[in-house]
Amino acid sequence: MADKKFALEIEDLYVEYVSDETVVRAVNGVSFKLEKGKTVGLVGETGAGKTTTALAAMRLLPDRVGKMAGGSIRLMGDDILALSEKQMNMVRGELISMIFQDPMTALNPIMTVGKQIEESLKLHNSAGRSHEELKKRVDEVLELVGIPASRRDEYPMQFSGGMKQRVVIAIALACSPDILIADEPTTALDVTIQAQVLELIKQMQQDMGMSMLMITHDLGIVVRNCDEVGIMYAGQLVEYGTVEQIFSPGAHHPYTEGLFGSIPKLRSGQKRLVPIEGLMPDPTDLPQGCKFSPRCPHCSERCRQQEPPEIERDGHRLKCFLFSEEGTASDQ
Amino acid sequence: MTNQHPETIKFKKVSQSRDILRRFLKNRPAIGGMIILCLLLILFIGGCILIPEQRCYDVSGTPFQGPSAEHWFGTDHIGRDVFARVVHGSKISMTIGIGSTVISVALGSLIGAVCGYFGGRVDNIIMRFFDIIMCIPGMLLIIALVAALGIGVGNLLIAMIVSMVPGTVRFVRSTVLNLTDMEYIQCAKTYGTGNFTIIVRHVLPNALGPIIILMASNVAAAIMSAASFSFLGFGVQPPTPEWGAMVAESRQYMRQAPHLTIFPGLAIVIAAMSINLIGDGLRDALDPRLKD
Repeated sequence: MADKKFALEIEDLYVEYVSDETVVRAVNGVSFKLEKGKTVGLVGETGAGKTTTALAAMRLLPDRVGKMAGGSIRLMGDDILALSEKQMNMVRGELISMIFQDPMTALNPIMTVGKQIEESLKLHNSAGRSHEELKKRVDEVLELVGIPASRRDEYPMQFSGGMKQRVVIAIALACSPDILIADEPTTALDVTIQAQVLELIKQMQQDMGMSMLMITHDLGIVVRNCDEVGIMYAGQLVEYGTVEQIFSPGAHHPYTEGLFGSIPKLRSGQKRLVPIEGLMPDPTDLPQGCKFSPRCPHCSERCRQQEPPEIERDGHRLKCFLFSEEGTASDQ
Repeated sequence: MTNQHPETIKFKKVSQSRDILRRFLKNRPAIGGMIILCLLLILFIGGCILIPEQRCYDVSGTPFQGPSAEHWFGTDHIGRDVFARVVHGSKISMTIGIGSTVISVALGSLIGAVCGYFGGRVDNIIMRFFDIIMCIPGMLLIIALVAALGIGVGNLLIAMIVSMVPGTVRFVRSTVLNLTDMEYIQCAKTYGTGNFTIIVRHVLPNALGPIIILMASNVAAAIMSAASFSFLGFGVQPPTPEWGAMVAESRQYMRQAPHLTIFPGLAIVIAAMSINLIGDGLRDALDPRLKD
């Protein structure tokens, strides 16, 4: 029963996208555990492997192209790799569900929103509820996300972006899953709506006792919504810890520091932001040694040769040579 | 419960279908085609009900009569009433035209959707098979199939379906390929929808617009080719009335009695043209890129 403490456990996950000639190493050894009722945030640049990690957790990597090259994923203590596709379909929606980035395209344009919510309920109707009961549940779910039930029979095109995202959330939550993956749920929305939607997700999470994996590149969202954070770079978790550990000054991975350096601060009066120089490495041709070494201001010869080990202190994990020997980092 | 939401505003509901209808109605050639087809259908259906089928085979009239009040389209070389034969001939021509299209599009859509959705090896094998069929010229394929199966309306229908399916598969597959990348397909997967359900509930309905367009243009072509094969003697056999067969029968008397070929020929042309016009109008109305 010890492992029942965690809703989602990902261990040493490797994912590759294989095309005719090239192998894209999208995820390279990611491990983290999502405690029940808690929220883990994954932060990183576009192409860092955040979404791929999430898709792997749902076993929805693109057919034929994407494949798990190693590692294990356990949902509520069960290894999902051992499940058949049919069992997996039962798990999806009931145990784990996902919200997508763009609500404009995440809804079927020619089906009423009520029908789309009902579909998910119908698929997981093990209780054998009648059509009327399902309809009632659809209304309930719609009201829950703040959409009047009278709009059940309208089409997605009749909704605004924020409302569509509410519908998407309603679909994901219809069967009260244990784990919710939110893949940049607010990126396509404007700021005022972002706040509403985030508030809604947070409230739903508390009401239903869900665990959540939040994917974003907005550090502001992370600090307000997450319990633990993983900073991803080139398919690796370069730093992982609680929000306090990541957001308080102290020992940090140079990439995390770079990320914080590239967001404006209200009080520091700085004139210019400090971006991270360079670009993400080509995932078909990752550098030897530390993946961040070509862009790292503290890069040494050793970084280019060897892959840095992961150092853990009180659950705060770092993947950098800077912290391997000394107790504290050479802060700048 | 609705009262909890004071911000509920009654939106003006502009439904997509109404928008499409409006665009279709603005298209004059399409409306023209629609009117012609309706008149034609009223004429044929009314004629089939009012004129007994026996009249098609009644040889009591004088041969080679011109159009008159008694015989609207005149009489043919053995004195049969041409109008009755054109009217009753519509049944077979239309049935083959519409039947072959509907069946081939239904089959082709299903196969095409499966190919486009799953991709990979299954797709490769099926598509190469249809590529091979498509290499054989359509006319030759149908002639060969009818020759192998035996001459007759049923076999002509089968042969036409076989020759029409590959094109439909290709067309639907390419449409579906675009659709499978849509996020709502992915979204449906995240709540545990099975592949088959996704194809039937999400993929095919979204491909319906292009499929309707394909169907409209195929019907006209199928009516023409049904007439062509009957003309060549592969489909309907005399004395059964059918437009193509009628033209074939009367072509040797073309100089003396041109009306024998003109009337069934006109029936073919008008039916095919009106359906084509409607098809064009549908394409313009359903294709959002051509939006005004």
